[in-house]
Amino acid sequence: MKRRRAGYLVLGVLVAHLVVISVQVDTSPGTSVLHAVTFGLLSEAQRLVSSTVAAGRDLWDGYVSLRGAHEEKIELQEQIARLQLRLQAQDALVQQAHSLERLLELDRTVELMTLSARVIGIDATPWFRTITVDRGLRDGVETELAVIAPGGVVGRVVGTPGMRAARVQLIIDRNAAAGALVERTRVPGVVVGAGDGMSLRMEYVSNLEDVQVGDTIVTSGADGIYPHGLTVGTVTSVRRGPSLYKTIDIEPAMEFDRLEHVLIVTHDERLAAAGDVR
Amino acid sequence: MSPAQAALAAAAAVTVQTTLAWSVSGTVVNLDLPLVVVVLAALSGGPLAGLWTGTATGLAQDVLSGGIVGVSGLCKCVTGVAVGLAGERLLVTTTWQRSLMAAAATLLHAGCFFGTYALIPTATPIGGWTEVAAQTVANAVAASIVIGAVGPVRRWQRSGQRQRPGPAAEGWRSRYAP
Repeated sequence: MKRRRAGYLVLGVLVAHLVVISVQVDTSPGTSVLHAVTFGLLSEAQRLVSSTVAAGRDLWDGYVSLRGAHEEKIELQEQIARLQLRLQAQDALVQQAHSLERLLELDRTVELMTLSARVIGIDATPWFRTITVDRGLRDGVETELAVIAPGGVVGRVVGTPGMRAARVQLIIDRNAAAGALVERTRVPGVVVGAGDGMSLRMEYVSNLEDVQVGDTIVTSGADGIYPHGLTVGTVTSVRRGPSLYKTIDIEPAMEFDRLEHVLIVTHDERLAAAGDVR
Repeated sequence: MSPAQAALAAAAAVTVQTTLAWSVSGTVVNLDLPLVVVVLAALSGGPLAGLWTGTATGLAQDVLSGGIVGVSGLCKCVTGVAVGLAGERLLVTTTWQRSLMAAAATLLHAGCFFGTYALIPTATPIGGWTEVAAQTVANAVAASIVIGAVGPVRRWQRSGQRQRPGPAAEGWRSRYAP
């Protein structure tokens, strides 16, 4: 009797899983309320462990491994002095550029509004490439916002964010894609995760176009998610494809292994001006 | 293993997998620690322990991953039940036998996982059989390490139970066994 009950239980759980999966496949991905609540709870555990680890690391860096700090301080002071001189020169150049822009009546460079976030966890399985960051609905984070870092494109916010956390799909994920172009020749295409979880591939670039190894790939802004002109990576190999399109392998500009802080693009003036509603 | 212990172990495994492993190594570790916990729970508590641990662990993984919610839950629950049934019929007591079971469970889980995603057009996981083979070895090693770490704790726990016997000390098996 108990065994039969157990059998029914197993069957019930399996059917429940299949129902949950099919609901997401038929409609938009993610189960709104259940998903958001569970993600919110689990991300708090991630935040706690991540903060503890970070505190331990800070303690070590701040107090234990202070040997050589004095020499490093002197070296950094010299570096700051050099950088201040360079900054003054750059400021002069910026002023000059602004004057020329006014003179030529060109559009001024648009600045992105970003929100800094700390990475508190990675994907729970090795089969996808997502990270969890410590900013959520409370900070104004929405789904489909672009996530960048000083090195280049990181990814985009996916799923319903929690109150204090959000999940970011990295650009190297197999299911990720971004509108891109070759910086040198302005040839457009689509950058996707190559499938190995480490590199990228550029698709839909005609066999007739000029693309070379070493070319820099930047975002085109055509997808309405990633702002225009952010570095995606460098071309490592170009082969003539069997059909109409080239096979282009790209090494990402970002080092995703040691990603600790990212910037969430909360507002891009160009997209807003173009009437793109996210 | 009691339900509370299984839930705690599952939560710890998911947390370690998503935070500590990455913080320490600085890279994605091709290891499924939650699956190892499901296997060990199923071996010690039977199919129902495998079912519940697998479901809870898998769903937690789904929520914290880029995949479809329910797929890991489904696969881990199937794997947990299968390992639990195998554990009832086969002699799986030594560390190497349990590690072997973890390796077999990894292959079963991977077959179920990739098979399910092959039917879903909206998401495609990374990797192939090379990564699965690497994870099989990694999970078997992790299982032997976890058993080695848990052994002293369980011995200490048993000595405590001998002094204080009672129904609360009984695990999944006594509650659900036919």
